[in-house]
Amino acid sequence: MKFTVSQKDMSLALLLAGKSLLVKANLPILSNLLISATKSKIEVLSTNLETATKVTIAGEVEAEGKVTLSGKMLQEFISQLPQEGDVVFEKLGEEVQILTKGYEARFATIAAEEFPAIPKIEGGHKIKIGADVFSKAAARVAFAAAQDEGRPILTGVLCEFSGGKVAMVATDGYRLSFDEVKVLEAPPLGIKIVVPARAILEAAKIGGELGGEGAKEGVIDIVVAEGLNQISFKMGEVEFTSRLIEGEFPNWQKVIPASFVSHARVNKEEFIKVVRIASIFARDSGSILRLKFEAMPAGRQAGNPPAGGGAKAQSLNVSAGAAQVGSGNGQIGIELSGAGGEIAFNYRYLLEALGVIEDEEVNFEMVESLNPGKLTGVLPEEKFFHIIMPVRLQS
Amino acid sequence: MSGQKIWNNILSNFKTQVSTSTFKTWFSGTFVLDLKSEEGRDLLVVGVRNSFVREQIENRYREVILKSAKTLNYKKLSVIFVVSQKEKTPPTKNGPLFSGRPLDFITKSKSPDTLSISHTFENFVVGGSNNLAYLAATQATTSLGSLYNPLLIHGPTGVGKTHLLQAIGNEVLVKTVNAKILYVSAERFTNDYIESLNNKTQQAFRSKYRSADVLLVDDIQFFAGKESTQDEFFYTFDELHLSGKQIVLASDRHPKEIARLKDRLVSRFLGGMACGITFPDLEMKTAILTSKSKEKGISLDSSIIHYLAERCRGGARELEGSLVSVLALSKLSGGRVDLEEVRAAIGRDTNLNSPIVTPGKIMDIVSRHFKVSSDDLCGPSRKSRLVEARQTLMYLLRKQLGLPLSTIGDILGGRDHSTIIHGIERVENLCLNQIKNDEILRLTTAISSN
Repeated sequence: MKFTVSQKDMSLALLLAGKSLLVKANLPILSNLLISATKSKIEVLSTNLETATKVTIAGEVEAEGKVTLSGKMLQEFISQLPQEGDVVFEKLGEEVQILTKGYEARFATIAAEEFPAIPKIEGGHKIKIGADVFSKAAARVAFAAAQDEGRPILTGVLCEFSGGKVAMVATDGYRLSFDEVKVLEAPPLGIKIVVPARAILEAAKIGGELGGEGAKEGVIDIVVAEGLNQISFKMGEVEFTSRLIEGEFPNWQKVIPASFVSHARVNKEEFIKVVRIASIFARDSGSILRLKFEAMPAGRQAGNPPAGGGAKAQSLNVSAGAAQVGSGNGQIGIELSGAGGEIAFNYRYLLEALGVIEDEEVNFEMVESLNPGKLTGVLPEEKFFHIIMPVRLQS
Repeated sequence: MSGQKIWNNILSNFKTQVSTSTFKTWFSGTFVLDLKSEEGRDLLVVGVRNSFVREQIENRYREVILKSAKTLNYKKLSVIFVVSQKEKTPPTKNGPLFSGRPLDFITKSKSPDTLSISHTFENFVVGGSNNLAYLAATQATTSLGSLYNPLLIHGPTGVGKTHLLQAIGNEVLVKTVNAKILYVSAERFTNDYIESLNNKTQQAFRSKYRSADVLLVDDIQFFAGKESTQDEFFYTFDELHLSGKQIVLASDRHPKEIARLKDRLVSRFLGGMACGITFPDLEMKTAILTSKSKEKGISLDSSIIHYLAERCRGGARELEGSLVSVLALSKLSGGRVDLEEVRAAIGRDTNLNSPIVTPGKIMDIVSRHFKVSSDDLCGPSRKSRLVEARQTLMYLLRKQLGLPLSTIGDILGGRDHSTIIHGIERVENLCLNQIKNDEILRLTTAISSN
């Protein structure tokens, strides 16, 4: 095997393929990359037995062949070589020699036959979706999925393709994120799959990293295997494959309150700030903050005016405290319709949800202290919403 | 030989031919789904964790596995691999968002004075015997500390007093995040008080009880005879009441009937709203049973529910008890029960335990209750205390045993049947008064229980 590629192409390919490397594998082959040179293209392939990434780059192939090399070492080495130069890979015995202007390296290899085969998707449901649309929706939803494997189904993102749209839902049982975006091409019959949250985030990242240049007009081609057990995302020269999670996603519609009693419109930056400051005092008390939406008390406005919101008539008071550390309390002006009320949340959930909303203002809606609250952006065309379950405070 | 055993044998042979890490990566967690025999050939279906693993085993290790099988003399065996989860995910809870019950977050130390969140107004079955108490309780939560303060709920055991008390606490928590709600039994209040005296921590005791926004005290009859606890409770009560905090009390009888309870406490307890709960009627019992069985996730035939409701004389707790027996019965018989089985099982139980009620027994109980002798009951004396006891006895003999008026007359020393009618009517009129009603209730409970 012998081929020549540009340092820039190879460096990007290794970065992308690195997403599916299993660095701490007890099977050494899984921390290696499979590099295969055929005719005029070079493929870099990695897998961690959950996902697989295949990147195809152009190069000059003198002799065809396959080899596996340590992914991490190769990535570090290639990325630091002089840019704008060509790199020559040549297999010499059991080693691979890598040559570029001024540098030479020899990498030990493991036989390419050892590299696990990636299950092929033969036929299936084809979907096309805009890369930016997909990446944004994935980032808004997937963070709410469960981290621990106690409930495997909740570590995934439910994707329902139907009627030219995809609805994505993720929940860890404490909060729930939803977004719905248009797809360019969808299977005629709707399908419902659960993609591991980690995989969907990786796919979104690859889509983002390629930006407009690699991906053909920024479109992701998705294929879902006939048996609904595997999915592949094809973005330009990158193909990312993942297993799907089997099982039934819980009925998430029922957790969304049918109607809300109070609606508040809050400046997002002010909201984040008031939550961050109060959270300093919440660290020793289970990260719990108290939010109080109310009409502004008359005396308050004159004596200690709220931090933001100018001359708004209603306020949001955020407080936290623990007996051992003291307490903090912040107030901002908001627009409120409805009775208002008190509700207590884990501040991490609030910050994470506020972090994915891009608008300058957000809507917060609630029913009562013990019913879920809802966060949304303010643009009417956006379908995104986030539901958080409050906690019940007892002294 | 079972499929799993065959697979284990193959694996232990195969293990010697590959490295440990290879074996672990690809074969740990494989398991046998099925072993089929068709036309002299055996087919072993093995589950693996995902398609990546399956692909690798199929491509790389299939032949080696079959070779291992041959060396072990499983000549006619073929193996196929399918992706499968070892066990279906247990139907564990999906988290508070799905159960609709928020996590509790207790700001200070965990104390036993907390509410059980399963007692809410939503799952309280309302009927004729308790609708006044229910209404008062819901009203009290909407205007805390002002409308019905204190609210006193009294009634025999097992009718839902504690449920209502806790429902009030839970409802207040729904509306405010941080109200300080204190739910204690009178017994706990007493113990806390004694402890504070022993440890000289009266200050802490007072700040605990006098800082509550809502104080819920259960079983206040327990205060009877505890003089200094009564004094302490009196001051606590007054302070909270004056500062407009809501107080809700529950008792198993009307405060006036609690012996050795100081008058000033009795008058304060009755200074707000006092409402009684009596045993549920048949329709309500049916409703309670339906709601409880729904909570337990079983569906019972309406004839069984009706039978249980008719059979059970006590309150909700006894109903729940009988439901639990039926549940156990249905587990024994694989999920299905019919009325006959229930009748056989429960009927047997109650027949063993339920006492046989005789006129003599009723007379005994009445004479003990009124502290008069049974000879006096049948005698000619017309002292007012005796008359009341005698008339109550007439009423009970009629209502409990359904005896003819003349027989009752004979039992009570040859009285005329019109005397009996008059006596029964008199007691019925007295029963319009809650105190007499409760007295009768306790007598009937005593008759049917011991």
